[in-house]
Amino acid sequence: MAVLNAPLWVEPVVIAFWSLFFLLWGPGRRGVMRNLSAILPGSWPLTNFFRTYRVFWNFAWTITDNMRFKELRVSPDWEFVGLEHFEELHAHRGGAIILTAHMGNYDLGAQLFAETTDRRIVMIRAPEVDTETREFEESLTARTAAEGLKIDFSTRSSELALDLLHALQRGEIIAIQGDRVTPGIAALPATLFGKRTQVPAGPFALSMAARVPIYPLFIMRLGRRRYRLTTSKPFEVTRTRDRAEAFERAIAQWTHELEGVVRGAWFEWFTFQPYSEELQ
Amino acid sequence: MRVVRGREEARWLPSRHHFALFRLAAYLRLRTAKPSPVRDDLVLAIDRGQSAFENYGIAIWVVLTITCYFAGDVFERWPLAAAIAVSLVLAMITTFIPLCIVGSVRRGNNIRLNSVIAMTLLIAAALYYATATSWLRFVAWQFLALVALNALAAVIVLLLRPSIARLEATFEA
Repeated sequence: MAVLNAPLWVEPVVIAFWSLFFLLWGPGRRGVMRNLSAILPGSWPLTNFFRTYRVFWNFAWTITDNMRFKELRVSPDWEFVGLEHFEELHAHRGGAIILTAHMGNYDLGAQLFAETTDRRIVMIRAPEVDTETREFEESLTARTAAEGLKIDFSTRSSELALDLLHALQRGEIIAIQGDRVTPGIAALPATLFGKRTQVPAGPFALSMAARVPIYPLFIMRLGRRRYRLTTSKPFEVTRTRDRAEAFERAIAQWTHELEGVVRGAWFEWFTFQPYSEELQ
Repeated sequence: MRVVRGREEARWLPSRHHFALFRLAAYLRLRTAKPSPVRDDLVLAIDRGQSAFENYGIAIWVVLTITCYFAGDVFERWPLAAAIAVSLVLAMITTFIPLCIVGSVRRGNNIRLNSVIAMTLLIAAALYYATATSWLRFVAWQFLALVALNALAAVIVLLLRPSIARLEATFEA
């Protein structure tokens, strides 16, 4: 494993070299380039080609930082934006949902959050597609996850929904990524950067059912071992006669937050497939 | 996991740097730094690998040095631009070959061992090219000069240890 072998001053070389993997992975590269064309309208394909390298570079660094924290307990530096909302989340005694995206270092953020609070956190994520990678990840999680952190996978959606509802009612915090829908997951229509897409229905349905707030939270990489944790104002999906309208309003709020963050930090939105069918 | 909360100037703590030259520079910078207003939104980790400038700087320096060795020796007869381009890629690969070898035969944390091996190989290469008659000797000598300068800084840092410890203690309080 690279973090246990590379002297720190060799690390940038290793990462710069292996990030060139983007040249070999056509579907991933094209996916990022198509997403960039929507995030940055009018951008040139050639420029987006080089921007894609930056996305892969950041992705490699976030994996490295995450592994370093798990294996060597070395934390990066942190800056907080929306600290009042973050502290409110810490102090909030009931259940809450952290809605985040495949940006920056969400794994590391969940680990650190779990270690700095007495609250239990359930992190929901999509499993790795590759069997070997999935097994490695599961064994690593079992070995290194913080005590108050439970990682669950979004594949078993029906039973998971009930488990999560009970967890929220017990006052636990649930962290979900709300920018990507995996097969078999209930989804709701949304518009992102002017393109039709879908977002997972789970967090919004849970917020409505358990009457808990949703805190949009993003963990962005600012540079080598430097991260910014941005917490936005929480919102709730209130129960009204018109459920569809309530969901629509909540999703519009979420996509507004997501667009703002992704537009400013497109280089670390790790979505390697086109996020909209219109971009296929 | 040691951290300092809210103090911008803690970026210059010598403990956040690895090589003696950078530790000494950080100490001097910290001594002259004006106390900045406390920032609630900042948490700085204390780890000797935390400095981006130091690690990127050394990575670039090492890769450029090896690139010169390849371009001036192995690809000596090639056009300069082509020689540099190929040498740059080879230099990057060469930098992490020893790590892959050690990592494949020895499990666990090999960072220190690999660091010693890599630096030994780099010093050996510099000693070899220092006797060359081509322009490579200048590359080799600048490498050896910086290694010597770092050794000198290490002695100074050792002598300053009590002072550094006192200064750092004010951040942990």
